[in-house]
Amino acid sequence: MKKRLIALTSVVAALSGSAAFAEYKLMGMGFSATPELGVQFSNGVERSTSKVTEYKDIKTSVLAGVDITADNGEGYWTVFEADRIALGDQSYSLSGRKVGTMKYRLFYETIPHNQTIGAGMPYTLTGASLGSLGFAANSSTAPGEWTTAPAATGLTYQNSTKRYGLSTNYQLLESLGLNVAVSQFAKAGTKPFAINVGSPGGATVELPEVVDYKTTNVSLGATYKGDSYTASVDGYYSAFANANQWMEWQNITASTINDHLSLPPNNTMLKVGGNMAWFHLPFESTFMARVGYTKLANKVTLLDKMQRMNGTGAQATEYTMTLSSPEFTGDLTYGTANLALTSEPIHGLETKLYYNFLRKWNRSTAVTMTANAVPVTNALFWYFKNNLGAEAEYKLPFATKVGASYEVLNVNREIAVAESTSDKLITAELKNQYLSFLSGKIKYQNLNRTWVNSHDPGTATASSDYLQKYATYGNLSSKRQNKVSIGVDVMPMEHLGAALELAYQKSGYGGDYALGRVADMGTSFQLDVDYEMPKLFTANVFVGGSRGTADLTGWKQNPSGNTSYDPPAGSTGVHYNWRHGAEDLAWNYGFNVTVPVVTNLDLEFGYVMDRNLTKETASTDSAAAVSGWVASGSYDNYIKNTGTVTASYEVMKDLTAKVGYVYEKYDYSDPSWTGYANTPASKLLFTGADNPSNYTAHTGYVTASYHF
Amino acid sequence: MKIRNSVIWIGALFAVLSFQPAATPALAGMDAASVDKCSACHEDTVKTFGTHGHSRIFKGKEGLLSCESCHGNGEKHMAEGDKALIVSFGKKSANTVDDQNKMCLACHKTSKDVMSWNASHHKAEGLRCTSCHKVHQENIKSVTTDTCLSCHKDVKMDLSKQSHHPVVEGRVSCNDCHNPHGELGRGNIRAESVNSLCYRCHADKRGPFVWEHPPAEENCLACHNAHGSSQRALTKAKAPFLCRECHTYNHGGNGIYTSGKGFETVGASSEGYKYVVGGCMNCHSKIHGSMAPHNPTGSGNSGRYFLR
Repeated sequence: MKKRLIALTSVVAALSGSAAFAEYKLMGMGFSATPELGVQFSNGVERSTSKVTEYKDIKTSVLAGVDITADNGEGYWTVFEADRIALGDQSYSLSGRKVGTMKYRLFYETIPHNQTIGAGMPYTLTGASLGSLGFAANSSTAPGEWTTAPAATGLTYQNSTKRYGLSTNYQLLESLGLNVAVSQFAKAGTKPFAINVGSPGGATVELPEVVDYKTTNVSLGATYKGDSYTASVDGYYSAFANANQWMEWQNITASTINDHLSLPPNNTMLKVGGNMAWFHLPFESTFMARVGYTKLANKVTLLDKMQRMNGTGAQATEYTMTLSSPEFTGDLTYGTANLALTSEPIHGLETKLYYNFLRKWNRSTAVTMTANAVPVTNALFWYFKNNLGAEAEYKLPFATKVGASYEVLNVNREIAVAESTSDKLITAELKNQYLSFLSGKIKYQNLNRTWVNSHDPGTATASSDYLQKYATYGNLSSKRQNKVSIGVDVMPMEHLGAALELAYQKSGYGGDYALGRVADMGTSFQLDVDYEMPKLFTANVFVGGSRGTADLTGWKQNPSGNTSYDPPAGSTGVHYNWRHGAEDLAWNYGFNVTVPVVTNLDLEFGYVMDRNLTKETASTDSAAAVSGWVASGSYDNYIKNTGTVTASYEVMKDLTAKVGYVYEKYDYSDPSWTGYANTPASKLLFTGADNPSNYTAHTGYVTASYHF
Repeated sequence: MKIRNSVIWIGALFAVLSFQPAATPALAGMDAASVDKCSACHEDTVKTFGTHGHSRIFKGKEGLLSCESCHGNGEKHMAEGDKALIVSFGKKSANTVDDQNKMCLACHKTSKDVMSWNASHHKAEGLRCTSCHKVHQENIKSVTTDTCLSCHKDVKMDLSKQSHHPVVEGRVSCNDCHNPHGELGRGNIRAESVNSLCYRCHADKRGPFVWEHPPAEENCLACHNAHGSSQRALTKAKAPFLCRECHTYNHGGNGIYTSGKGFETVGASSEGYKYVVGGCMNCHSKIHGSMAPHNPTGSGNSGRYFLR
């Protein structure tokens, strides 16, 4: 800690010293700099819970940053910014610009992602590193040794992304600009995943998946501005490399054969496109177009052996499959076209016509895998989308505008049960800004989605396929939706403003009888009030909330009963219909106040409360099924309270001191964690990898900055 | 290691400072002398320019920007004091929104970002450049996430939910995904499709996979709320309910998910584990796609079902 403090102080001192020295001009540049140095502190909560530190580094540490600007006074300047130096969420950038000629930005930053602290590990890992996760199949790494509570072994699931790169823009001619950018994202660490070690729904184990990704990106572009048009071309190449293609691990239900998990494959993505915009066309029109081509490719050698499974778990044998091709060549191509024509054919009438096209071609390898003379071939999923729409808005007296639009979206897919969907969307809108202190708008939207399911379920109710007659597929099924939203802005007096938004929507899915999501509804509101008492304070108060409901239906087919796959016929005693309802409630409120207490001293304080819970209801048409039901209670039930206080004091000219404090308390409960327990006897190794972590965090900082 | 990064950056800084480009070419029609004329009445405004890019351009150097570059000839305005006699910006301006924006676009014309402005939702809503950009403000980073959230209040609420992208933490900005100046596709996103946008950061989800999960391939938003969610992994609903929206009768037709059937505590019956923690993803962990083969003789380890 002391060492780090000295090192960082030296860095910041060197930076500011250089800057101060440069006030007398260095290399023809005039300098100004604002180094900032201080300390951040926490109550150590980040050592025991990940949620509070999910995307940030809050540990007690030196806090250092600096801004340095160099300006030659002739339209060239450069700015170096360093923030949170040496912390896990540090960032640096060096940007500059020569007016009318070029600009650039060089950057480096790290983004942490802390997911779990204190989880367990069901393997001893002797002779293996967590980095490779290569659990050797020998007695020293035999599973089952871990039988204590998950927190005892203290495994941390954490990864961090380092992003760095350079982007530049050149103004070659007054009308021609070029841009070039290169960047790399390197992500390393672990993330948790769960995997079945027997039949799905049975024994399960949580493990760390190694993350060691590198994505390299290059982009090029050019834009030309003519008298009545602008044209641009762009290209983008991105290569994703994963250091591990497979995770080899020992399935706890078999001790001699290793199991395998596929990891994200390497791939390359090439994208080229072009834009055009023609201005000053008849009727005040502008025509805009973009065409794009994207190719996503990879080549992967496939495994032809997999550990065998039976109904209870993995067996100590491997099964070799016959593959029609030992190698999979991924070849996805996407073609896109977007066209838009905006016009004002008569004064006050603004129109827009648009067309969007997207098609995915899939020329990947269709691999037939055969075992016991049973062949299975991977489906090559493709689709295409056509979207055509028209919008019009007309100005009426009294600063009123009325608008309407009509849109059609047709999607065709390589899926029999959702072969195509066709959306027809109608909107109508009314806006008024006649009164200087009041403006408002109201919008209505109607969606009608039709659906083609070309799968023939047959007529035999004894066949499980008969259920397809009633199955829906969420947003791939027929849907009817109505939505209304209202927005009002009011400024009843100087320095006081308020904005209110209200929305309501209701949707229905499928036909008269449907399995799956059948209906949902949503309402929401947001109210924001700003008030300023000049020289005394400024304040913002907000409150928002939403309520959403979703109805889901299902059919329980008891395997030991007679076969009957006909839900509309009702319960047979052993089979039954069920219905599930979820009511999702979320709301938040808070305020923020800034007070210039005395000259040179500003005080800012705020408070935010975020709350969510989901209530569920369940019903069935079988009295027998109800036996033994236990109410699940509300899930994803959390409350987060955050309070902040910041004081900024200008000690003397150019020297500013800041003190800040943040209080955060998070409480979470969910009945689905009730059964989340390590149960080795049942081969359920829930290690705590997904443990929600309540916390009370006290964090703060003290800094001083000096402007040279 | 981290200290070493700082040293490298300092070196890069000095390397850049050593670079001295040629003098800026004069921009037509701009008169630096008018700055002094305007500051006589608008002293505070001129002062607040501070370190903003615009102020650097017209810092008194001949041939660079001046007040009149944006506000037009101010002679009459100076003589009569009428605001309507110059180009002004904002809600109370006598100039139309289009005329105000044209002043900005006169210089900011070769940016691809502004090409599709006429088709943008923001233009349709009557926004001015100055609705978001504070051209006189000292801080060069005048457009921030808060600028967007001041209007998009529903998004602000989503971002505050427990599962979200690191936007409020300042690691991702609205601008990373959306082009506020307009794109021809939906939502002003900076890509041809939602997936194409998400794949920029989530390159591990690109595949191509042997076994594709069609909704994941067609649209990430089929399952995720990009701005935030109360459920983990930004999903639109909690598993298994999310999965059951399409997979209505898999596993032979599951019973209802309550604490008694399907939601019961671990090990209570064969219906267990479908609600606990990750729901379906307790087993189907490769839900975005898999490269593992499918073994018809024991599909419990199948890539086809996203188990491996």
